[in-house]
Amino acid sequence: MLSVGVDIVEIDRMARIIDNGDDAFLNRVFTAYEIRRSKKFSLKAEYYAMIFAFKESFVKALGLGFTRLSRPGDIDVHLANQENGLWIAKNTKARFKGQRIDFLDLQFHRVGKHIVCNLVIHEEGLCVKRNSKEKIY
Amino acid sequence: MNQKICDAVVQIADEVIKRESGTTLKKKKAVLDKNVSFMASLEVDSLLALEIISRIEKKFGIKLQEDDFVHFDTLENITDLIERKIAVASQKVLSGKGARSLKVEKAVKKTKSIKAVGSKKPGKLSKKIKAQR
Repeated sequence: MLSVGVDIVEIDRMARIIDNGDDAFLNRVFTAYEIRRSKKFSLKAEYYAMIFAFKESFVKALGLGFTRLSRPGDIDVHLANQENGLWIAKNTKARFKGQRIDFLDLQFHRVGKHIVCNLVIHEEGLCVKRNSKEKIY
Repeated sequence: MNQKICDAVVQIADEVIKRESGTTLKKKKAVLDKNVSFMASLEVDSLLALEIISRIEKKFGIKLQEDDFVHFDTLENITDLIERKIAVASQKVLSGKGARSLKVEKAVKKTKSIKAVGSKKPGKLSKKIKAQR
């Protein structure tokens, strides 16, 4: 069975939250790994926007939304880093409550000041089939 | 309904909304209606909702779940929920303090008894010192 999730996040809004120094928000929404990894990204707002868009898309694809069963802090996203900003790379992966999530397809687009995430997950097989590498910035 | 908690929640939401849209909650009078869904009338998305929740958590020192605000959606219900969570959190703190104080009391008693024993029965070394004097 295939499920689709889509989300859009305004980068400036994420930047305002980060600039505000809201640690409670960061610790609630992002995992320790994601926060640690953000130090390697010069474009932090984009990085966090991508991860948030992914998490939102994922819970939408599961038909849940953010609930106590699917907390954003339970989803651990590993994005690859490239020299010139953020890229979608083959080793993009995630874990949900410790279980590996594999994607049939995952795409991020930068549309103006927004990050758009399109996610298609295969709920049964869970097999990684990344097919494209796209520069978004 | 605890008015102080209610005011604090409205203030937090007001700050966030003002930053994002430039409008204050006073302009959105429907938001402050007790029977209307608070989060829905704020017209916030999940990002802002999570920010408001995390700010409330920080302000009151409590833990809220992501869907708490869905089930307790009116301002009155949210205030009651926070009040209950604060009560639970304070009970935990009190019970924690109680346990600690018992431990401290036991430790104090132990040291007192050691001192008392020491004063009544001097050790061999102190006896030798006294004999030398």
